[in-house]
Amino acid sequence: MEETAASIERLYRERYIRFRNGVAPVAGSYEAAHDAVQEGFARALRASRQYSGRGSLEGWVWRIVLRTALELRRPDEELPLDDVDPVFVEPERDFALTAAVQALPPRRRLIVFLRYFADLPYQTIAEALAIGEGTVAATLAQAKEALAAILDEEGVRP
Amino acid sequence: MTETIDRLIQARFEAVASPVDGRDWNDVLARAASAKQRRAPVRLALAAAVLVIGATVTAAAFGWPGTLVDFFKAPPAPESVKAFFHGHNAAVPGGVSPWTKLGQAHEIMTATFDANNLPPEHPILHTLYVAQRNGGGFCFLWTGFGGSCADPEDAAKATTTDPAARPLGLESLENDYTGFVDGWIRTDARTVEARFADGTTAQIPVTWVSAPIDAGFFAYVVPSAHLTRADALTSVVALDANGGVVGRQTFALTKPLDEDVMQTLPDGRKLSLPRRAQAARAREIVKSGPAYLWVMPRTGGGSCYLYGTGVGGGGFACVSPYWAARLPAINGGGANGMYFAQVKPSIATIELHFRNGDRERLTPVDGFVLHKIESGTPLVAAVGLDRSGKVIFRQNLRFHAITR
Repeated sequence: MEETAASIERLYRERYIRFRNGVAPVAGSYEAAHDAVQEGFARALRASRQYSGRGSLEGWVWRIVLRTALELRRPDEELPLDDVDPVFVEPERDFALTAAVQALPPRRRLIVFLRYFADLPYQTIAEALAIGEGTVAATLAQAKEALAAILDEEGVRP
Repeated sequence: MTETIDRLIQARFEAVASPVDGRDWNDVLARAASAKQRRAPVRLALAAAVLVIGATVTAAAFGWPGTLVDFFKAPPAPESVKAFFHGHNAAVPGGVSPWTKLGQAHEIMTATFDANNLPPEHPILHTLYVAQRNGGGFCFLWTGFGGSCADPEDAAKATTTDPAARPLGLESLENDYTGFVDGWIRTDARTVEARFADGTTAQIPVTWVSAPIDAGFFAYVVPSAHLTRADALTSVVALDANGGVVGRQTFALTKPLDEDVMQTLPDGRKLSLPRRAQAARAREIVKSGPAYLWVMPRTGGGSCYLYGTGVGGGGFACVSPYWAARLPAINGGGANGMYFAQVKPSIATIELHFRNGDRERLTPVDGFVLHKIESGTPLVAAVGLDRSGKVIFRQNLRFHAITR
């Protein structure tokens, strides 16, 4: 258990910004995302003995952090990750990219955010969302194609 | 090819992701140790007189300076407060053991403070209710402010930078510096002391609550003479009978620039903005009916802007020199019949193109445009012209579909 706790701390120290940025579209703001990451890692620490070792520790912590972000944002309802509608935080930074990402279906959008904001490999995304790695790969391939086409049409090349 | 697209898209995302590092492992440890629930995000307050309610005896008889409230003889909490505590109980997140069953809830004391303004403008009376948890510990609620649950055993085990001290169960209200703290201590402590940056200290009155709560509660207004960097509150410590520190909570004097604080625009309007945005130096560069656009300096370089369309749209952003260099020449978009754009200095004029062939020319003011769309057909592009009238940038807007 102490070894798991130490690994959780290491993960936090090395990947905090990726977690915060990756969960921000689910949390709704960077401030809420920070809170979700703090609370999610605290929950992971408290529940560290429940980590079975099946799948990566990072994927397990991501599941907790994502669920925490959902709970903090919608405390009155139990929302499955399938129904989450992630949004681009601070769209003013790049209206064209925002419009391109928002044109994607919500589920595909979430995978895109986890891939590009959190820099997660396909396997970790699959673990975090409890879906197959092949599904992630196929979804990202479609999303990339759509993003490239939309950004091209926007006149702002990727 | 796919890899190239992947890298290019990655670069676009990295250019817009926040680089702010808010890592705080001690905060994670404190949350894990206390299993404490979050309060409502109230940020600013100041408190005043505290009035103890119910059957009290002199706590000195028990070796404690302060007042002792007999928990079971204190007035019972109203149903609305009991419902709050039970709701709190139900809000325990998945994967975490729920709080043990709540027992009785009683009214302990009142305090007058302003939970919305610093310095205080409209202080009101807040009441402290405390509820017993049958498995140990307690939950408490300051009406009109917020509540929390505490597990004293967990708190005692929590680690801090000082191995001799545990963190106190404090909540603080801060603007630039801490203006109000409230919290609780266990009965191994005797006194609570506020320590300031100028080396002075002040004792914080504690109201003790008898078994099964066995804890002392306090609400403390930081005096107005201690709200500058030179004399601000730096820590609150709990001392045992021998003067030894058994609990400590510190307050940083250097606040994160990206933390929201209440600020005032030159027109007197108050709003919560990141500390980095210098709202007092804002200039209103567009004011047209209900629409407005303020631009203000950003600490560290660049600028921040705040706009509202008056029809439900608007936004706020800070743009550092780093971001500014990476933005497209026209970074525009909008909704609800309003077009907003931040433009680079090379763009002298923006020409809006509509689907029906209509065109409309706008002149940026200080690098910004906020404009009401008059055309009845969708906006399809924003074209940037330089001073000689030559087209130097085009942003297609098919996906924005902005119409009047």
